[in-house]
Amino acid sequence: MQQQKRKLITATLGSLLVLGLAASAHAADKKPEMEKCFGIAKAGHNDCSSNKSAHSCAGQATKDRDAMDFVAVPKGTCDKIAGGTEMKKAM
Amino acid sequence: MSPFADTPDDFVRPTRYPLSEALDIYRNNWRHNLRQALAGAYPVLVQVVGEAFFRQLATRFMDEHPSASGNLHDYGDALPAFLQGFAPAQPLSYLPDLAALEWACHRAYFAPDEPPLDLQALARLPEQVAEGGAGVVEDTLEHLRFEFHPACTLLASPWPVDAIWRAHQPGAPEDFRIDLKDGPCRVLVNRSEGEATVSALAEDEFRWLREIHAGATLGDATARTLEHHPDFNPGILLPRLALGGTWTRFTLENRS
Repeated sequence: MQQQKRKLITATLGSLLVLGLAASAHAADKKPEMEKCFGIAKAGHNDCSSNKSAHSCAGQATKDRDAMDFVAVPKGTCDKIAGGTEMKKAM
Repeated sequence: MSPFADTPDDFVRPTRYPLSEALDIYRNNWRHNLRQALAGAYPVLVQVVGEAFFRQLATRFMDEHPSASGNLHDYGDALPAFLQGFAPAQPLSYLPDLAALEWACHRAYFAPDEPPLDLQALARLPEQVAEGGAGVVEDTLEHLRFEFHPACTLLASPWPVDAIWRAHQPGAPEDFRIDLKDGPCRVLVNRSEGEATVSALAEDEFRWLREIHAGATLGDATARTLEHHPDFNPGILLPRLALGGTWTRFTLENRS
C-alpha cells in the first residue's frame, strides 16, 4: 500500500507539471468570471419587474389563508421517472 | 377578537382597508414572495411534482420553517430534509436528494467569488521542494492540502438525480425517460462562468475528493482511496479539478 501510494504521489507530480503548462495557456487566455453585482440575477429570475423573482412585487391583493382543503398528488414530469423498489403503485 | 389587539397604533398606518383585511393582504404578499423564492431555488422540483403539488409543499414548509434571513436567496435550505418527512411526497423517494442537488446549485450560483488556485505556484512545487534534497519530493507533497471553492458541493445519491436534473434544464428534450435503477450518482457541483455545473464523478474519484474536502492531505486521501479502489490514480483527476476551479488555495504543511 505504502509503495503504491508513493507511486501515485509521483504520478501527481507529473500532473502538476501539466498544470504548469495549462497555467501559462490560461494566463494568455484569461477570461474573468462573470462579475456578480447588483442587478445580475439567475436566468428567469430578474428583479422586481418579473413575477418569477424571489423579490417579486407580484403578490395579489387578495386574502389568502392557504386553506388546505385538498391533498395534492404529484402531477408533473415524475411520471417519466420510473422504477425503483420504493415507488408505490398508487401514484 | 383580533389577534392583533396588541399591535401598536403606529405600527399600522390607516388604509382604506380594515386592519385585519390589510394584514391579510400583507400576509398574502409575504407568503407569495416566499413561495416564489422557493420555486426559484427549486425549479426542477416544481417541474417534477407539478405546480399545484409544489404550492402545497411550499405552504406546509413555510409553516414549519419561517425565513430566518433578510435575504430571500437564503430561504429554503431546510427543504430537502423537510421532504424526507413530507407524507404526500413519500412515493417519490428520490425527491429529497434531487432537492439537495438543486440547493447545491442554488448556493453555487450565489457563492462569493474567490481568487482561483495559483496553478503556476502549484506546478513549481516539485522543483521547489527538490531543492531541499533528492528523494524528499514525494515525502513533502504527500502533505499537500486543498481548500474548496465556496461554490463547490459533493453529493451522492442512490438514484440518478443528476440525470433527472439534466433532463429538466432549459433546452433539454421533453420526451425523456429515466429509470431510477440507472442510479446511483456521485457529483461535484460547482460554478462556471455564472452557471451552476453538475459533474459526475466515479466512485473512487468521489471517495478521494470527499477526503480532500474533509481536509485530508493528498497522501492520506490517496491511501484511503486505494484501500477500496486499488486502480485509483489521482494523476488524471487532479489537473481536471484544479483547472475546473474546484480549489482556491493549497497548503503544504509537513507535520511529521
